[in-house]
Amino acid sequence: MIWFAIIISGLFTFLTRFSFIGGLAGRPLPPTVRAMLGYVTTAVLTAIIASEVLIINDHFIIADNPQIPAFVLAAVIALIFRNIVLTIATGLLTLWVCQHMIY
Amino acid sequence: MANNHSDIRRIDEFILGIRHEAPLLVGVIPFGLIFGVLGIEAGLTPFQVMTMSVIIFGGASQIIFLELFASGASPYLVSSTVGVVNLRHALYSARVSPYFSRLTLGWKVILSYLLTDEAYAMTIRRLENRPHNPVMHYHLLGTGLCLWSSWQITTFLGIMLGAAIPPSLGLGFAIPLTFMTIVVPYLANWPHFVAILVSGSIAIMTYHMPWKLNLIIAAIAGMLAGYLAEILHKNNDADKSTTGYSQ
Repeated sequence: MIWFAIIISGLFTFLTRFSFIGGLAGRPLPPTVRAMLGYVTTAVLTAIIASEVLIINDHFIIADNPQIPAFVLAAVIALIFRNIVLTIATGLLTLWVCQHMIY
Repeated sequence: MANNHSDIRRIDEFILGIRHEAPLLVGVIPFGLIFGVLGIEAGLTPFQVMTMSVIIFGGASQIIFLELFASGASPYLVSSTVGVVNLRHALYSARVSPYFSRLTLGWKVILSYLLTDEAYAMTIRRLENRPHNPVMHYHLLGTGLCLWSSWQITTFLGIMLGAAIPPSLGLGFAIPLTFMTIVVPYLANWPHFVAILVSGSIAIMTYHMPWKLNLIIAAIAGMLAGYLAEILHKNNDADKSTTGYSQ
């Protein structure tokens, strides 16, 4: 199952990269499609972020959700320092503190 | 003599690619480590994690893979989502293809495999500055292989690290945090900001849908919203030279 997913994912990714270099795509991308593709990454990642942070055990939770303060604090750190390791450390540490001391 | 000379130019171009790519590794190294750690955390074997880095070779998409796999999504959904998030590489492929049209199929396959965000970002500048240089593909070989080896080495180190970290620590929250560091710089860009707002809200509103379909629906809505915002933005200040996004 997992091997199937890895191989198909790899194949999709390779074929996308090969599409124009290898001449698979018959004609150039329409400008509309090109413009939309510019937003793929932000859109997919945000969808995952939102459902990871705001949904716990299949429930949409705002109050009593320790992930929210942890995420917000980490976002502030990310905006200021633009440092991935510092951001993740802040988020995980805050979450841990919230879970064990406040909630 | 002529042959020797062009050999040197090839090596020079290759080394220049590596040198251009090196500064970007600062961002890649922690990312690779995180992927390795999270792969073990998600319950994959070290061999599966390592092979994924070789077969897919696409940073964020591999972490998305882990996230979906760990939540029990079907292999079809996992690979479609990875495919969708990597669709942006078609843009890169289109931009570089005129420079590589005369190469052999083998070269085209290798260069396509190496065409990641970071390699593209550095090589496209070189290509556009020196469009008639016949050994230009060695530049992408340099940026690509530099990134490739860093990604494989850091994945490996992350796997070692992940095996040493007790699973009870709950590192799963590192996934949205990692993605957030990628998204944050785009907040200052209006169409991207709209895409972020719409995608996030739709993902929550449709979260009860089966097979994590909410992610795909939210992503499509976010893309459309970003595109519409870009058009409206351009119409609003047509005299200012603003482009909606930069890839």
